Amino acid sequence: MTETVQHRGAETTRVVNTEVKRQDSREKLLGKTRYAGDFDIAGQLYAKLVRAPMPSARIVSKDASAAMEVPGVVAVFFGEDVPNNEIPTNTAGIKGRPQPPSWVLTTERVRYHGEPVALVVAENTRALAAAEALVDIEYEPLPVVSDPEAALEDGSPLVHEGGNLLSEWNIDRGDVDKAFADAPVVVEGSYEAQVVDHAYLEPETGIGWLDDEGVINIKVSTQEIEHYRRIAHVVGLPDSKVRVQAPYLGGGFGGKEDMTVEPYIALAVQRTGRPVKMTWTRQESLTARAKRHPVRMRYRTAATEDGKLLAHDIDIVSDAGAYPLLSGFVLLYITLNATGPYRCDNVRVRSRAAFTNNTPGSAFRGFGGMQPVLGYEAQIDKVADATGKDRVEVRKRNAYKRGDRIPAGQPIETAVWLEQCIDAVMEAIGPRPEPSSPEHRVGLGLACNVQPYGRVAWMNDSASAWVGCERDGGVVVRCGVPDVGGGQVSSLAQIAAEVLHVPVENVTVHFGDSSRTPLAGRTTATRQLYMSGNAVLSASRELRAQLIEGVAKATGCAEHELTLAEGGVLTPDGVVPLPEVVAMCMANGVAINAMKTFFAPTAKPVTQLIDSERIVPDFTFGAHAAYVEVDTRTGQVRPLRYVAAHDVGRAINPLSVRGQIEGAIVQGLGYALSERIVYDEAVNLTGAFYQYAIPTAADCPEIEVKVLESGEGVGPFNARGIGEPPIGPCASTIASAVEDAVGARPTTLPMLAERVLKCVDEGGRA
Amino acid sequence: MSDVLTTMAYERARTVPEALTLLAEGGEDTRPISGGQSLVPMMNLGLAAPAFLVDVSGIPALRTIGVEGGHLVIGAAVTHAELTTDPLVAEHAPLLARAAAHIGSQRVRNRGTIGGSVAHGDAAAELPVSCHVLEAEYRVESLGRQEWRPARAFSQGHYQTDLNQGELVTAVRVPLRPSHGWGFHEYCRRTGDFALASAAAGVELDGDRIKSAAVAVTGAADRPLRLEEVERRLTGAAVAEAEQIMSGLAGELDVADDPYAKGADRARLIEAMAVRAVRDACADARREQA
Amino acid sequence: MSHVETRMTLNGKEVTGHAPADTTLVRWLREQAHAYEVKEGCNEGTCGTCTVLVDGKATTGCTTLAVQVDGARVETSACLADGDELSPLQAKFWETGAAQCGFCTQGMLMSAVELLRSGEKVTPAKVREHLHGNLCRCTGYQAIVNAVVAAAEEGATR
Repeated sequence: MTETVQHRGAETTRVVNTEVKRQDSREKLLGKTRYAGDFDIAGQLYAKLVRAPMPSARIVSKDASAAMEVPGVVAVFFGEDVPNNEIPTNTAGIKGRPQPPSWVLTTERVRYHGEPVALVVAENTRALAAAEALVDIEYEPLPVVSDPEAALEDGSPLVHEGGNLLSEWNIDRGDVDKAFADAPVVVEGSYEAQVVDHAYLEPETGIGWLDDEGVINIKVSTQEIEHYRRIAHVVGLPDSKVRVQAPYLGGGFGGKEDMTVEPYIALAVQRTGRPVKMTWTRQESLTARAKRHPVRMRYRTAATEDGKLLAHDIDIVSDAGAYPLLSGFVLLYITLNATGPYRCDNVRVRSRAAFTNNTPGSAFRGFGGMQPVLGYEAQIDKVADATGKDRVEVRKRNAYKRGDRIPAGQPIETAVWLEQCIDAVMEAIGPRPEPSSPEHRVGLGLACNVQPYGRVAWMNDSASAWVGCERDGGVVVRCGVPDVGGGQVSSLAQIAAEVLHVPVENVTVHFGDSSRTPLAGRTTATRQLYMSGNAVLSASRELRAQLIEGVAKATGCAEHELTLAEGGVLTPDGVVPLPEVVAMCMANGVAINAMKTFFAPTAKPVTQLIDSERIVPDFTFGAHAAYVEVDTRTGQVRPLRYVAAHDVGRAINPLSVRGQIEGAIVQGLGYALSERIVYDEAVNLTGAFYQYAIPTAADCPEIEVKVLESGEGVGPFNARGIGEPPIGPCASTIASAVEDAVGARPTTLPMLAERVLKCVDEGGRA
Repeated sequence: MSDVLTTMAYERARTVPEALTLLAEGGEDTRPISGGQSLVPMMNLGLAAPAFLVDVSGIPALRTIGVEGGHLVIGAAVTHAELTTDPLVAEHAPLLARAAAHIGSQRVRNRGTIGGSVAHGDAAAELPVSCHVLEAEYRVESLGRQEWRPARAFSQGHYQTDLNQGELVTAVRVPLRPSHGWGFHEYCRRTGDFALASAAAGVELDGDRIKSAAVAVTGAADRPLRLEEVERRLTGAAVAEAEQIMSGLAGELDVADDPYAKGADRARLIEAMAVRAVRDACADARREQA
Repeated sequence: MSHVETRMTLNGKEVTGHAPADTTLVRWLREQAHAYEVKEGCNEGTCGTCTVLVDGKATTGCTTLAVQVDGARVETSACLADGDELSPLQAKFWETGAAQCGFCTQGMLMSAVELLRSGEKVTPAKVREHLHGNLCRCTGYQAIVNAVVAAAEEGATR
């Protein structure tokens, strides 16, 4: 089901670029893996949040006395009890607009439905539930802002004092007005995408305790162990007095990138001195957890008569919800990616994010690179149709080449294999299936995308890793990387095994501990392989050199005569087994471990008008194609066959690469067809999992993946990031296929039955 | 104050009389439970808090399926999974088998029961609407009383039925109609979801003409809705005209908007389901004729 | 607080627990029997993460009360492997990459085992239909379907 196309001249590897069955998967299959919610400590307490039942209100009074009467209740905390209740918003590089903070427990105002107001701590979960219902909070409803465009108008109620505009980003390249004035072809479109939820199967959960040294330990399902600093600030402790451990996560997708249970657990542990366990219910997670930013996008695109893009004029408004969280950065990505993988010399983009009383938006796989695909892929199809050109040819005609600059200013320095990706899917998609009845229509869709990987340059991103040898010849990697399930840890073992010439099974990885493992940054932005992978690569190479040095010193051989080989170091006289190599090092003053920090290239932060040579490390390109069948009586869209191709540079573990692509596609299909959070004046109505329609196995087609390897990426062994890119093209692929089937294209997501029926009516082919 | 932490009592009844006694004497908030696939989620979400559960799922008398005097009689604790595989159901009430196959997923069908489903009164559920079309009856028992109630009158609104405190549905009986054909269609946004719209249909043919038709839908109201006007128009009509007769049904239904679907959109889906259910029923009846 | 004694055979062993009568099966298994391999994902019966086999039938752990299965034979994924050796189905899952984050895996395996034991013909479509009550957010299902089909081809029932 997977075919690999390789760039000629790729270096041969032993373990990297082979299908390695992941050790963590084996343990998970055996049921041995302990997730954050699987730990219990004798004497533990339980904690639960009291959340606001309405989206906008002033808190008039708070009374915990009835709750405290419940047998087994230990404490009820409000914001006034938190040493530092204000959580500053990370605005690194976002100049100009001061960003309002978030609150651990809001004290005066409620700004979104489900916002935490109080924390109950009890001996058992029954007392907890009883007490939660008895915390008496009086609210005075305030006006509600539920639409982002309305929020930006004069006279709108304010969510925060400084105004409802959270941030704005602009791109202005070339001479857009002139290009439009002269252009023979101009096409326009409006596109809208909805709020969706991460819906990881493992809820937000953690357990905290105070250890013998007075350190608050928190074992938590999180994508960022560096939150220990924020947690320490919240409880008023030095950074070194908080330790965060991240066991294997049951899914993250960006939803566990901001803090979730951590500050509450820390507060309760600090105040009670006892272990405290907290797990959010699915229902409260759906109601109140940060989600993907919805967007309204307006595109105008100019082109020549033979389909070459001349100009884009793009306006995007996004609903950031009640608090910024990572919205400033998501909006930046929306702006950077607004025009997709096609070269265009005259581009104007205006992106604004507004505060409303809806659920805050934050990180979610794709991080702003996903929403614009709906716009730019529809627009390029319109250009093709308006000029009578083939949709494949128009894409190839306009695709970036190495050296082109994206509208934000950064040149693309690695190979662009967009054409190869398109060819791969168009060849593999196969013949058009017959419709299953006269009431059905079959259509073919194609869409491409580009997604950056690695963090924005001014973050001064770095990742550290320690690699060392055991006396018995085993290899140990220590790296803070959280593993969200995508094989993050396994890849590090593969890289170390490759460089040190040991079997992958002999590499042990200790990960995810803010005080015991070197910090590697958050697992997000498709950055882990690039960052921690490069750190492990670098440390492994240094260790390799040290092992050779040790043997050289012990044997008198010249270093250039020695190489790492299976089982140890190969000398002119044979292999010295690794345990002996270690002994030789120790006897000759050579360290048997190495630690390296990998630094991503840095640059100055961009300004609101983005024009910079260095913003992101690099990009991943891809193309998807699909057949769908549309039921012209109900509007139901059923994907029949789906093929995807991405250039991953080099696949460290093709099994993991394929898994990431297939998984992202199904999330993308959910975004395309069925997932949405429904609000009524900022009240979140989608409070149960049965109301939130993520795809089931029966809703998905067989997926075929083509892994292309150009050999050019900035990750270890020339890999590119692949966690996020494949989620981008899906909705557009399906929209394109529906258009082919019924004659009109859905422009609002999700493509619910009633919306598709309108396309059926419009297309007139039923 | 201690009420707050009182926990629920539970007892497994071994016979129907025992169950009825427990239900009568259990006090306030005493409820029967069989599969629990509707009740337990409600308890988990804080939407129900029974003080005493009487488990009837293991009572042998409620687990039988048999033909008695012109009816197929199905015990209330027969599971949806059993409905989909039982040969008597396949022969005498295939509509129930077909409808039950749409309920949830295998794990739900392994425990959910027909009695539980009809007593729960979910307006979108598959079995009650099928029972409307089958003109089924439910045996309702309480201490010292027993009567058969028509399915048609049993549904009284969202999660509201004719069932009173202390009463238990113990069986469903379906008149044997060997020459009828049956059809069932539902529209879900995603596999396994509650249906936005569904239709059950039963027809009897006389050659190429429809001798009688029963069509009921969900999604149009707070309970299953018999489309009596459609049934009148279909009676006597040629099979080939059925779709034509039903087109425009969407415009005749007055369906309320809700946050998840506009009434007009739902009506259109209901029409599509009804047309297909009738079409399948006619094809099924033809097979019976042959 | 009144507790009820419940017994069941769990993966071949008798286990007894004392818990409030409204304790769901998944919580009983985790808290009373320490069967941490069974996970809870939604507590409303939607996601299937808590699926176990009760008397051989796939059962939703969070919509079944433990007391309701008193005396029953319960199986979780812990009964599949032979010590540290993966069962044939687990081995296929491992080969195809069907366990990424692993949180849905226990429930997915048990639903698949029900299918494999049923004797029904196992095609990709049949696997998708049978497993549609087990949600997965990581894998996109392809690797899972491939694994179950491959296991069926080898005649595996665990």
